[in-house]
Amino acid sequence: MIRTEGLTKYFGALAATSDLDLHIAEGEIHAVIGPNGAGKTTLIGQLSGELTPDRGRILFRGQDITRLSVARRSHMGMARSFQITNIFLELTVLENVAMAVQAHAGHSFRFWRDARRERRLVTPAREALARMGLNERADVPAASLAHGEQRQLEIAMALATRPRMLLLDEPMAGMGPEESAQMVAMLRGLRGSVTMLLVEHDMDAVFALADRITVLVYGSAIVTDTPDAVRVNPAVREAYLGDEPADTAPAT
Amino acid sequence: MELNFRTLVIFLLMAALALLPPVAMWVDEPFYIDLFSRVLIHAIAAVSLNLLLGYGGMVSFGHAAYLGIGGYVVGISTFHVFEDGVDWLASGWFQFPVAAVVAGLVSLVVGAICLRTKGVYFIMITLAFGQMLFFTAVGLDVYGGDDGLTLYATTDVGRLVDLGDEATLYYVSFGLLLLMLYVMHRLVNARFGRVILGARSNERRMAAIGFAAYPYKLTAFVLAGAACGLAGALMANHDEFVSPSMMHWVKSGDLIIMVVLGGMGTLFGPVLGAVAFLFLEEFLSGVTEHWQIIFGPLLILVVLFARGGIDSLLLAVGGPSLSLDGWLRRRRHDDGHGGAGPGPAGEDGAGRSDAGRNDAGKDGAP
Amino acid sequence: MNWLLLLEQTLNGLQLGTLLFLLAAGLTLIFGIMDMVNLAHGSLYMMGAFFCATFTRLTGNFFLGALLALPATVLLGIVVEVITLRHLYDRNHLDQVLATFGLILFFNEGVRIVWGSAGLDIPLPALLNTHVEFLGIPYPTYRMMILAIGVVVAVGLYLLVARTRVGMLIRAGAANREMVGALGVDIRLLYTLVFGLGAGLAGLGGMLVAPLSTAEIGMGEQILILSFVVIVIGGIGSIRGSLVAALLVGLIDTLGRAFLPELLDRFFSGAVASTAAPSLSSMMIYVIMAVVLAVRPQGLFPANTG
Repeated sequence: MIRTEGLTKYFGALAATSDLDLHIAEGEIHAVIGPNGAGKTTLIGQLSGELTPDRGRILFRGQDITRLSVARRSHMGMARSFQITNIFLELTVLENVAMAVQAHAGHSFRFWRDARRERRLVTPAREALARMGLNERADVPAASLAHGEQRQLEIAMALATRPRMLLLDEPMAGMGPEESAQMVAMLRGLRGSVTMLLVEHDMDAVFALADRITVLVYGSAIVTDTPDAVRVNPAVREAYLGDEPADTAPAT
Repeated sequence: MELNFRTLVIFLLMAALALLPPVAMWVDEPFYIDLFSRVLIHAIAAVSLNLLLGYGGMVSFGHAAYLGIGGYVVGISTFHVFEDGVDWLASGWFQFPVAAVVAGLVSLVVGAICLRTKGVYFIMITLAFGQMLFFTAVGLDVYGGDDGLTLYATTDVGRLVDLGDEATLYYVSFGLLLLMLYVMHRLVNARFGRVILGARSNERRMAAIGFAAYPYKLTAFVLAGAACGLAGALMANHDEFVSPSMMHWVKSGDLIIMVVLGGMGTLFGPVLGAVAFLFLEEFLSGVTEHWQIIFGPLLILVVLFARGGIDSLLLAVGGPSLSLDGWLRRRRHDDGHGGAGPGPAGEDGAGRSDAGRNDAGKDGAP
Repeated sequence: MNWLLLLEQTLNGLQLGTLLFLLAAGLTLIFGIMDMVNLAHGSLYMMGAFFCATFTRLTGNFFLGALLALPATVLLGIVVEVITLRHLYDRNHLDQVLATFGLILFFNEGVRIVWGSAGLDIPLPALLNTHVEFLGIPYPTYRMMILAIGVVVAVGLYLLVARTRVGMLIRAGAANREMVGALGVDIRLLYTLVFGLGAGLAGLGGMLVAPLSTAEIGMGEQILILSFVVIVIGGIGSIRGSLVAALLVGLIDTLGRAFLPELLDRFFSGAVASTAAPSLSSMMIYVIMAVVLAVRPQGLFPANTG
């Protein structure tokens, strides 16, 4: 589904991503973990198109997307959720998701018809909300949602664009155990219908969801393997300074 | 619309504006028709700027240039009617559309360059372009240059409509204002308006879901410029005079003040703002010729304490609305704003987005 | 090609560049550190000129007048900062634009009330009303002095920013404002100091230019917009950028006005040339700015990293 070849990104003298070869198969849930500063957010930035790599390529479904804009990649089937909640705070929950639907429902140089009544926008939006359990909150301003609900809205918006691939940047960030469990169940339900790249600190979630895990340290992948193999890998243990991967790392 | 104090005030205002000319004639104060024509024309310009500034969060500090362009189209055309005997230039069918088109084309070029920047860069570069156009007008010696150009006739719109007549011009302006308000209402709630609002709210998110904001912002820029050009054409007819001062950056600042004063990103805000601004100007200059020394600090106080403008003050004063449940609640707002009711004066200003800052949701959040 | 004229105009261009630098340096500092758009910066320029004119008249001596005017302008700047601008640091740029616009109105009208609508002239002291020989041409001493002062200020600012603790805070603040606050530095004092510095520079610019033209209402706004162009080209937050850009803009503007009419005359008819030349000269700077922004939107020497 998506592949990077020799991906490298410098910030000044520091290589945040260093000659990274990553391969994510279609339909899998692929987690990227690593200690802080490993370059996970930089990786997502380059995959989504917000950052331009200094070297290397990114191939999405066979096509070289390295120089494509963020919006273009969205239209090719990539969607992203943000680590720090990044929604339209002044709009209602429904309007937030409808906006995502609208982006993929033809052009928006329409000046006359009321978009709030367009069934082509509203129906899929309501469906996406229902899938996330947010339909009760549809007409509430997004700013007044609880944190966990806002994270859910993030995912709902990403899903509303009908992506082939989902880049999830710490979706569980700031969530309590119950909310995290709900999110894990929801994501598990999506397995197969959408490919996922999951960057996460919450190890319970990672091990519950991932088909494969890549461990990133100082911008390079030290291991890519199944969860069981990663769990016992000595290099991984060392990278985390002796932390047991099975412990719940505090969501940061 | 909800039935509340604000709606009532707006309704009364529009009714008053509609009835002004006959009332003014009745009390034998035709001066007021002249004054309120100016108010209406400025309101049209402010409505056009509101699309950019209020809804779109783009602080264009060179918007008055389009007033000037529209005005000069009329002025130059009329000049050549008399100078060279080219009669068809006098026609309203020529002058008004051309005013809009030329203003639109210029704003296309200016916008195409300016919209590549954000935040304070955008403010400064629009300011600079406005000045550039100002100097262009000053350099047009043939058309009066710095001294301006007097119009020997108003635009010819047929035998029935004489724009030289105060009341006629007033109603033409009023009609155009109503039309523009309606267009704005539809625009903001249509898909296009959604994109503009979304781009103001969170441009990074817009890109992530697949919207390249630039083409839409540029379109808004052009629409606003063209509409302002029309206002300028009317202004030329009203003053029977055009000069570079129409395009001066102080004028651009005045337009921004009108939009902010009235309430940014609300439908009738610019109208409220234009009325308030010109009223204040009239009133204060009656008190002292040095009225600006009062106006300046007043503006500062408004910025510091009444940021949401008159619109939010009306909402605050009005208290709970007499809304009928269900049906009225569903039609919450007529202008694309999420959230309801009286609230603190909103921070609708353009966010501080320098490229490189990744604060999600910080820009423009209320 | 008249080489003497070229040399003279080049010096004039550098001199204009110096004035622009004085204004731009303050603007860029204030923007870089306080993230504040200050339209009233030009008003401080104007006040410097008027203070100098008044003090010169009172003392009968230009040097004394300038010496008194400088702290007066700095003080005025600090007062303005404490009373109004301080409350705007947290606001978004639109609010700052509007509030400082209000300040401009206030200052312009205030000057009109105190000094009247006509401008004030400052006669050049006899000592400076001479010429010096420079590379074979006579050049006004006073203008030469402006260039010299520009060099001194540039060096002084460099030393301040690069070699002192305050300067380090300034550089840090320009690069990453939140960090500096988080480090426990007394931000308010730093801001007031920076603003005072900017006000002083602006006032200095005003009093230097006053003997060349006049102290008049509106002089601030004209040069302010040019200064904005300078800092946009140079990169907001960068003093080095504002120096390079100021000299560049000064040169282009002056040389353009001097030679463009002649150039146009060679290629176009007289009528076209005489109509287009003044407009094109004025426009040139903005065209340059547009080009720079198209190619390098952050300016030539962007300072912001955080």
